[in-house]
This record gives sequence, structure tokens and C-alpha cells, in this order.
Amino acid sequence: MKRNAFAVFISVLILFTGAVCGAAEWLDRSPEVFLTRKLNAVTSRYREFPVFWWNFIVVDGQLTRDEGEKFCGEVQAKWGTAAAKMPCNFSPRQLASLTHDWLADLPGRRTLPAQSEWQKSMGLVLSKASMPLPREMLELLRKDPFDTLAELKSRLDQRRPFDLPMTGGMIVDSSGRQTWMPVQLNYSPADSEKTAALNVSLKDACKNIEGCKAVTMFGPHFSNLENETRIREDINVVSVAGTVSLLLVALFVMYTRRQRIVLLMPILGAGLALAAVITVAVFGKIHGITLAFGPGIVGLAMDYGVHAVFMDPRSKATWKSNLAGLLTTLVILLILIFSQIPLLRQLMFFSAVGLIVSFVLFYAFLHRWPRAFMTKPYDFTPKTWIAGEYFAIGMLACCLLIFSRPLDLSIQHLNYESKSTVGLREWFTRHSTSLQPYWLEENAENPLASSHATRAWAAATGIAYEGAANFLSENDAVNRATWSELCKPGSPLKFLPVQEKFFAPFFEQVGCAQTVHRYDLAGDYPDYLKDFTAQGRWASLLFPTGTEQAEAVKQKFPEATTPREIFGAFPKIFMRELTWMVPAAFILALAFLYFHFRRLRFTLLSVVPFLTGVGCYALVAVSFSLPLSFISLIGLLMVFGFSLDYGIFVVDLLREHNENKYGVWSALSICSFSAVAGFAPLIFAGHPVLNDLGQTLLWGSLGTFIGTFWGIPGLYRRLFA
Amino acid sequence: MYLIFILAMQCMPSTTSATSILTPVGKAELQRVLGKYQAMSSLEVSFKQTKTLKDIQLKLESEGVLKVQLPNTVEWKIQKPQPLEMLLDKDVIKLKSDGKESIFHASEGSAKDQRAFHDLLNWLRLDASAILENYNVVQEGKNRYRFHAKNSASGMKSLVMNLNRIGHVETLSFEELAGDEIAIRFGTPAVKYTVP
Repeated sequence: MKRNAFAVFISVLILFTGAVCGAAEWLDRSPEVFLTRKLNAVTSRYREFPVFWWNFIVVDGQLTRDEGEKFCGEVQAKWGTAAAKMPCNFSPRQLASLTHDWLADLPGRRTLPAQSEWQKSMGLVLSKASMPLPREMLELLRKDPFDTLAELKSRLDQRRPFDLPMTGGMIVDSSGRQTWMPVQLNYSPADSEKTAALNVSLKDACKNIEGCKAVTMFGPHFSNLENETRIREDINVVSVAGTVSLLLVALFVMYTRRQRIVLLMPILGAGLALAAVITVAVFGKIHGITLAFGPGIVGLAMDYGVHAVFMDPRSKATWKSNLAGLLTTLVILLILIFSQIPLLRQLMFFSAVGLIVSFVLFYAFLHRWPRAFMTKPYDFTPKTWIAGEYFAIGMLACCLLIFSRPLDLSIQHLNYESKSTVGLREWFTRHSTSLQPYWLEENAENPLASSHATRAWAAATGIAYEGAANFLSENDAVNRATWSELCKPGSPLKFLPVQEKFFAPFFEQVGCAQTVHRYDLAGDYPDYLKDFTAQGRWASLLFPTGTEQAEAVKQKFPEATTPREIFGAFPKIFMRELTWMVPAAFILALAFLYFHFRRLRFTLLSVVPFLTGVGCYALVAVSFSLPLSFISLIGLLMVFGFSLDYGIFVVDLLREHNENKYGVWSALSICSFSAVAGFAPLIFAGHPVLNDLGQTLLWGSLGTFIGTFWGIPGLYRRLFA
Repeated sequence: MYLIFILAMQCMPSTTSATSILTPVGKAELQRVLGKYQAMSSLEVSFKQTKTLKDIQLKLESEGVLKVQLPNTVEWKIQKPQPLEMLLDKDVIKLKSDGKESIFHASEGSAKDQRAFHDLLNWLRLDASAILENYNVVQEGKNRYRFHAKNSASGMKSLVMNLNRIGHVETLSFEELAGDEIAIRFGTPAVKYTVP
């Protein structure tokens, strides 16, 4: 089975449509499509919970402190409420809602203090208030007779998932040429449209600051935006480059007067469209990457048509080979459908449906109107350039080079990072004390009780804890009840007039504690706990300080994870996928081939195109130091699937001692050229997933063609003729 | 951070110079007045302060001791209504109360904080040139000087200093931008001079 350029041309049209209908509801562009369900659930914590919504604004250029603060102020003014916390432009107003809830909830946190404590604490606050203070600070003191805001501040500082020494809320690198400004955003990183708008306003603010040469962002929000933008740009690049590349193949076909092949295009187009509709119906959405790559695979179906038009469209032998090719490809696709990675599942589903539908349509149309499609084959065979056989045998030997490539199964290889982001990440990794808090999801039914249990265990083990239990007491109701004393006539609590007047906002806010709201945490929680909740889920953070404590955490809470553990899990999952997929694909496909040929030697011979495909890719990988990633291995598996089609056609031909039959070689060549032309643009993609897949499919296709055209005939003549 | 500023003002040495009402005080004049205290090594003085919050008609009263050790150390000790100490030493700001201590570094603060801190150092050094860079000074009457901040971002409108008969700072009052006022009355200072 082979692909055809025209098929990919149709795909280009679909891609254009995808690009144009960027906002269409059925089009998915999320980067999470690369993650397994389990990993997506785990990593979603870092997307959904505000405690991890910290990013950095990174300014290149030597900013003075004044310029840094001016820039920070301008950015905050432009970003408005999108920025939840910006230490470089701190003002109590930033945390107004948070401090309001915190101060109002004091009666829930503790019992009514005794007279002596009131006097001492109020006196201290009044001493502070006697100093010259900004009015907004003074107003906070009026609501905080027990000076609890310092505790809140230290807790907020502890929640930051980074530990870098800051000056004026900024981090300046040792050269003084780069300034990092932390900012906690107020929305999920998934909302990349918002991030894109913020990014634009960032550039505008930079223009107004003399020392600002360039500005960018670093963090989960920007990474998401960067990946989405890259995918979108890649789709555009692949669309344009693909069109140019395929037009060249089309011109060749027209120039050599084989224009009837063009008639196959609308049929394939219908197959692609139907596959897309069915995919949307089954998955709810179709991903941009599926649209970019799927048609290339479905384009294999075009090969069935091309084979038929160069031979007899009604030839049973041709369609039998076509069917064998379809089934071997489907075997591989069906195996990949069981992948844990959603993108692969969708891509394979789309491809399998497209192949089946297109196969049926080609069969129906070509049988109904054979004369309209019949095309004269080109008059060349492998013998036209016999030296190609040595070339193919050399490439076959090169397949061993694949074992020299390092295996890179890290998650980083699925994540796009621009050169500047790589530099920033390296800087951050070098300088930031790696805070690796253990993330623990609390029991959803009673998150507060669960959180308190975690806190109690952490306290007993000497591990720092951060979560809801630090803020809301289990004895909330009991505590609040004690505050009713405040309103009782004859209460032993006595206040001086100055105290009553100064702390009037506090007394007004607290009342007799009866009006204080009690939170159930099910959608109702104070602002200061916002960091720990997302969609009804509640989480706590544990900060073990050594291996022993970390082991204790894992023993007590096996489900607790750190970002490092999550990253470490990816290669294991990928390896687990590969360890069953690769053998299963080989065994099933070889079994099917044996069933088709009934001879081991023919079965093995039909695998030669795959091996030369691997050899060609390995040669390029060695030359350009490409690692062997999870995606490139999946790509090789796909090459294996379609290379067997080539093998079946040629081995069938040679078995019939009919090597000089032009039609098969013409069809193989046209299909291979268009496949190479179709996949070539993908190597211009910047996203590592697309690029890896493109590299593998392009060089794998080229090698497959060489192995099919010269490798099989050469070996057949030498070994079996 | 203009807390630092008031401390600086409280270290202001007394002067006996007196000229006509609302006479602008120039660099040479201020240098002459301040020049008398170049030999001071330390100062200790009690104070009583009243802060008036105008909008709620409330007066916050406090009292304590101010200690200055040149060139870089200032202690602002509030004894009533509740003990609270603030110690400024070079770059370090320490707050002590109820057995707890918080330490801050001026260099880690904002540019505004840093400016305020440098203001303080200027006052501590009695650097007339530096003071005049940031303030317009006029003499309003006998032993009475008004300092107008050139930069409104400093957080106050103006500051008035009254000297007693023998030239020590007797009262200091300043008006904040928000409209609140702080008035400080100092006791008799104990001053030590460096031996030439």
C-alpha cells in the first residue's frame, strides 16, 4: 500500500480549512493530546490549581530599579485582574479580597482571646499604627487587632513553587542584563488566548522603557501558548509547503500525460471528509495534528487507486494485493489504536476509517467506470538502473545503525520550546532551589477533615505542610461560639474608647461572630484558599526535607507526587507502550504475511522495504544526530505498516515471474514520489512531535521505495531466482 | 517607608539660627546650621507623639525613646501603648515586639524604599547638599523651619520643625498626603560628641 501526492493535496485543503476555521468547536489544538489519561490527570494539577499558576516576565536589558518598577507597574495596569499577584508591584490592594476574607474569618480560626491578650495585641497594633504608614496599610491594621497578616504573608510566600532571592519583587541575574519578575496569573494556562493578549501588551510596555530591549514570559501559561502557537504555525507551514511540493508532483503527472490519475482525487477527498466526520462524531473533536498527519496516512488509499489505474481497474489480482496491503496496514493501525496516548488513538482511528472508506470508494468507482481511469504505465522497471540494487543492499545494512541512536523517551521531547525558552529554562534550573513539594489530593467528600488529617500526620512527622487545614479550623463552630461573648451585656472584655474607635472596622466585620460565614469547601471557600482548589478538588502540599521524609510521605500517601516524579513517569509509560506494541505489530503483521504468501522466504522478503526504510532513516539520524524518540519509534511502526504493502505487491509480482510488468513499478514510483513529496514539508515543522514524525515518515518512505524498487528484486534474483 | 524619614527628622540637630519669616534656606545657610553638629557621636531623647487620623477624628498617642549612634544606627523605641522597637543599622531594618524579631533589608525593597533609606542616611550624615536635593526649606519664624518635599511620592506634604531656646528640636510635625498629621514633642536630649 502506498500514498499518493494527490491524496495529500486533499489533506492540504482540509488543513487550510482547519487553519481558517481555527476557532471551530470541532477543532482541537490542546497540547494535552500527547498525554496519557493518567498523566493528563496528574499534570492537570499543574494546569488547574492556581498555586501553580506562577510565571515569570523576563526582561532583557539593563534595567535600573526605577525602570523595573515602572515596567512592572505598567504591566500590571495593562493586565488588570489577570495578574493575581505581582511581587514587583506589591500593594495591599492586590490582595484586598484575600486579606478581607482572612481577617473576617479570625473567629473561626481561634477562640475569643482573653482580656490581657486583647490589650497587649491591640496596644502593639496601635504602636505600629502610630508610625507614618500609607493609608491603605493603616486601614488593614484597623481590621487586624491580632496582627495576623504577617502569618498570612509568610504562608503566601511559602506557596510559591520557586525559591529565588528577590529584590523589590524581582530577580536580577548576576550580569544585570536580565530581570525576572514573578507573577501569579488568575486563570488556567489552558486559556492561551488570554495569555497571547497579555504577551502582546507586554511588548507594548517594553517599548516605553528605555532599558528594555526585549521581553518574554516563562512558565506554564507561556509554555502552553508557545506550544499552541507552534502547532498552529506548523499546520500553516505544512499546508503551504505541502501544496508546493504536491503541485510539483502533479505537474510531473500532467507533463507525462497521466492526468487521469487526477480523477482519483475527488474520491479520496470524499473518503477523507467522511473519515473526519466520523472521527468528530466518535471523539467529539478532531485535533489539528490528526488533520495534519491523518490525510498523509489515508493517502495510502490513493495507492490502491493508482495501482488499479496503471493495471486493469477490474483486475482481481490487483485488488487482492490491494486488500492484503489494506489489511496489513490496518493490523498496525489497530495495534496503535490501543495506545494510551490520545493523539495516537485518534490519528489511527482517523487513518483506519479513511483507509477503509477510501478503499471501498475506489473499488466501487473503478469497477463502475474503469475506462475513465485507465492510465498507460511508464516504461521503466528496476532493471532500468541496476546499480540501484547495490544502493538498496547498502541501505539494508544501514538499518543496524538505528541501534547506535540514543533513546530519548523524556516528556521534554513532546514539548516545544523556542531557543530563548530553552535558555530561560536552563537559567531557572541552575538558579532556583528546586522546590519539589509533594502534591496530595484530599478526600473529595470531606476535604477539610482530610486536610486536617494530613496536617496532623505531617506535624507528627516533622514535615512542613501547606493546605486548607492551616487556615480553617476543624473547631470552627466552637471557636465562633466563644466570640458571642463580645456582644453579651456585662462582658468581661473592656476596651478603651481609642481602641473601640480605631478597631471599629474589625468589630463591624466580626460582629459577634454569629454572622461569620462557615465554609463547606464544596464550591464555597474563602479567597485565601483559592490556590488549593480546582473544580471541586482540594489539594495539600507537603515539603519533606530529606530522603527519609520523602519516603515517609510516599509510604503514607502513595498517590502523592512531585513534578520530578511525573516527568520521570513518562519514559516508563512510553517504554511500556513500546514493549507490547512493537512485538505485537511484528508478530501480527508477519503472521498475516505468512498467511498471504505461505512461504517464509517471501514473508521475509516483503519486510525488506521496511528495513531499507529504517536504514535510510538511521543514516539521516546518525548524520544529523537525531535521537530516537517515542514519536520516531511510533513513526517507524507506521513505516512498517505501509512498507509491507510495497513488499506484498512486489513479491506477488516476482512470484509470478513478471518483473517486467510496467504497471506495478509505475504505480509504486508515483505513490512513493508523492509520499515523499507529501511528507517532506513535515520536516519544516518546529514542534518536536511533528518534526520527529515527519523525519521518520519522510526518510522511512524514501528508504522503503528504494528497498521496494531495487532491494526486493535484487535479493530475489540473487537468492531465489 | 517614610517611617524612615520621620526617624531621620527626629535626628535633626537643633539650630539657633533665625532669620525672617518664610525666608528660603539655602545650601550655605543649612550647612552652617548643621555644621554645628558634625562632632556629635550619639544622641538619646524621649518623645511623645500624637497621630491624628482626621477622617475618623481619632488621636493615637504613643511615647518612647529615640537613640542615634552615628554614622548609621538609629533606634526608635515605642514604649506605650505597647513596646515596639525599630532598629536601623546600615542596610538592616529590625522590628522587635513581644519577643519576636523581623528583619528586612532596605536593598531588597522597592526603589521607593531604597530612596527613603538613602534619605535617612543623608539626614544621619547631616548632609545639607543631599537634603536640599529632596526638600525645599524655608524659615517660617524664629527657630521654626518648614521642609517641603520636592517629590510628592515621598508620602508627605510638609514637615515643620521647631527648635527650643537652646537650639534642640522641640517639636516636629508633618502632614501626610492622606491628610493625617503626626506631631512629636521631644524631651531634653543627651548628646555625646566625638573628641577631636
